[in-house]
Amino acid sequence: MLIFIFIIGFMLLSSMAWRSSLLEKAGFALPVGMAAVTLAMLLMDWAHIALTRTSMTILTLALLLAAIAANGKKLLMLTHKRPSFHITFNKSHLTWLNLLWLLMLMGVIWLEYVNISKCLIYPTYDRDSMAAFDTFGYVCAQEGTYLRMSLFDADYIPSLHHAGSAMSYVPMLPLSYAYLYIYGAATSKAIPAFIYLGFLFGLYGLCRRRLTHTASMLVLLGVILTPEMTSFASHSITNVMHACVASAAIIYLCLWLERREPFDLRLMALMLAINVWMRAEGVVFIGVALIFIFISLIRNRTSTPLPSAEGESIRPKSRWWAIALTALAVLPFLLWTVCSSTCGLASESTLITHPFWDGDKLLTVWRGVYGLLGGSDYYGWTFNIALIMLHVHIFYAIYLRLRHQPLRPEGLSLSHYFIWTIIIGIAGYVTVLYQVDYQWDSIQNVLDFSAKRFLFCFVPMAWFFSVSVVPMRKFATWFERKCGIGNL
Amino acid sequence: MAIATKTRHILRWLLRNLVAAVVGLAVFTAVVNLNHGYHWIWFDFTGTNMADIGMDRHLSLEDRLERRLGVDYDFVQMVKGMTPEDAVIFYPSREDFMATPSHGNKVPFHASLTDKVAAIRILYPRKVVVAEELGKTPYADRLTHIAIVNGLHRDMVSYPSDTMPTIDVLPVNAADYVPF
Repeated sequence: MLIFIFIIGFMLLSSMAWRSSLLEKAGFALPVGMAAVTLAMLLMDWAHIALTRTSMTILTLALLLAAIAANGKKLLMLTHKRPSFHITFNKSHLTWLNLLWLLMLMGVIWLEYVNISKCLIYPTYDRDSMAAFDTFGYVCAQEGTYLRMSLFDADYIPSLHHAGSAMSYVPMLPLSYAYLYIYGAATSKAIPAFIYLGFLFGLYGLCRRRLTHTASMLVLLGVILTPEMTSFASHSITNVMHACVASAAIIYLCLWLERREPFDLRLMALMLAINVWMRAEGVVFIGVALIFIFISLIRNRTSTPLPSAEGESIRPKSRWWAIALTALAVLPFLLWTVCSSTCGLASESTLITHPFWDGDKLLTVWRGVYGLLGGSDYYGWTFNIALIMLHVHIFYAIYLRLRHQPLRPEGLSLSHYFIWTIIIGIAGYVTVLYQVDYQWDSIQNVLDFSAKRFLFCFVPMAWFFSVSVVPMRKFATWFERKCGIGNL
Repeated sequence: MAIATKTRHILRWLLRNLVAAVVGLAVFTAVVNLNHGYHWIWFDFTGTNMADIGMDRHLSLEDRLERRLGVDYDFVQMVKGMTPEDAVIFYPSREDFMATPSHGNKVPFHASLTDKVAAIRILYPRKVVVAEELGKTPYADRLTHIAIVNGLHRDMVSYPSDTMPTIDVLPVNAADYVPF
């Protein structure tokens, strides 16, 4: 059935962004398909329709037909064309191929092979999954309901109704696992395994939009070598999967800010919606996107509309549509809030909703986050390298200014957007950690064991930033010209 | 002449690639040796996991879980095997798992399955009750079995149990007790 979910996701992505690369569509198809199915599952459950094998089959087929219908016109056009079965080899497509790229690819394949083997050989055994997501999915599959399952009965497990309990988490992952268990799967690990594998393809596709093949592979190697992230990629908890979609959303945002391709905006909004459907604190990234889009719209209000590669210009109306589309990404979270509160699943909030000042608390949170970013055990040198590349970026901008060249030539603005989204995103996370009411757990526990996983989202962004800095990109282009097979 | 030029061109390309590969490998080796995290992921994470996978790939799903969760998993499986599906089981706490028994050998529990929801993942559809729920929830009044670790909570059954094993599952009612 995962194949059908993949096709649903692929078709939905195609309908929203036909021109995005095959790697992106294939890479992000599974989380998109899974998000669509789980949203529908929640609505069905809310409407008291049992989540059984029959209802899931009908739902999957209905979504599949709808996703195919959304691409109807384009698919018809494809069928009218004479299909060509000739495989042609064009040497010019491989001019970039070099030994270093192959070596990095081997490193990526080896690490991903270990990760996917671990996922597929061992059933879920990590404590956090067994104490929440995986068990929720399993029991949901047995009882045919998520909102009314026995685990959420306050008489049975009162602790799940306490502040900060797993019951209040957005249910995309538990429902995804339930979907597999409904069809008799022995383990739910295929979902984290294939979402992470897909992410590597998707990230490569995203990198290729602005970077060379070798630079893109360097980003992939940097991400997959990140110790804590890769070790958690084989667990069924939400963090790594959330990092995949959240970082993709921010990368799409930066790409849109740079070139204003309308499909980047649509994909950003879609990824933001999935991000908040996976983890509620992903709302931070919706805030980041809204800030950037708003500022860019204000700055461009008087300037000539930018033509996009699709030939569409950013008209005043579509400028506000950009804000509306981003704000709409919060809908899955709102839907969950309504469903959970009407079914008595709303637990005590862990957030302090009013503004307050506590200098000691802010300092403790900042020290914790700074310690995580600066230390190299969890993320390797991801953020240290990003800091060095930030200096390179600044010096390059000063160099351009001294030579009286425009400060934002092609590429410089992309790094600029990346670094600001990372900084504001981290500031957003610090704010969330500061606003948490630490009665259910100690602040030190959260900083030591949870916050390190929150920061996974910034790892792909930091690597993309480091490699997208203009001198680095120029070096990568020069390198491929000199060492690529095309030089033969 | 043209062939010689072409050969020279290929050799130069090959040399450039070899130099780039050697430099790349040298940087990579330095990175994984200088940084503890990278060293761990490249050598320890991959090495340990591939060795484990090699040994465990032919085992059943239950045996693979047992390899990862240790004797804690065996204990929960034992509880599952000794209770009917409609049982309401008192489940020991983390402190109970880690306690030292008054007599007999200590079983090396890892306390990896002390969370109630995690225990339910294996024991479902049996109901599970933990210590802090005693006297507070309707299920706590309907206990049918007591899961015993390190000889603790044997006093919860209605018959003498002091001489029974320190790891056991005891029915609450004496009528249901079947000695080995």
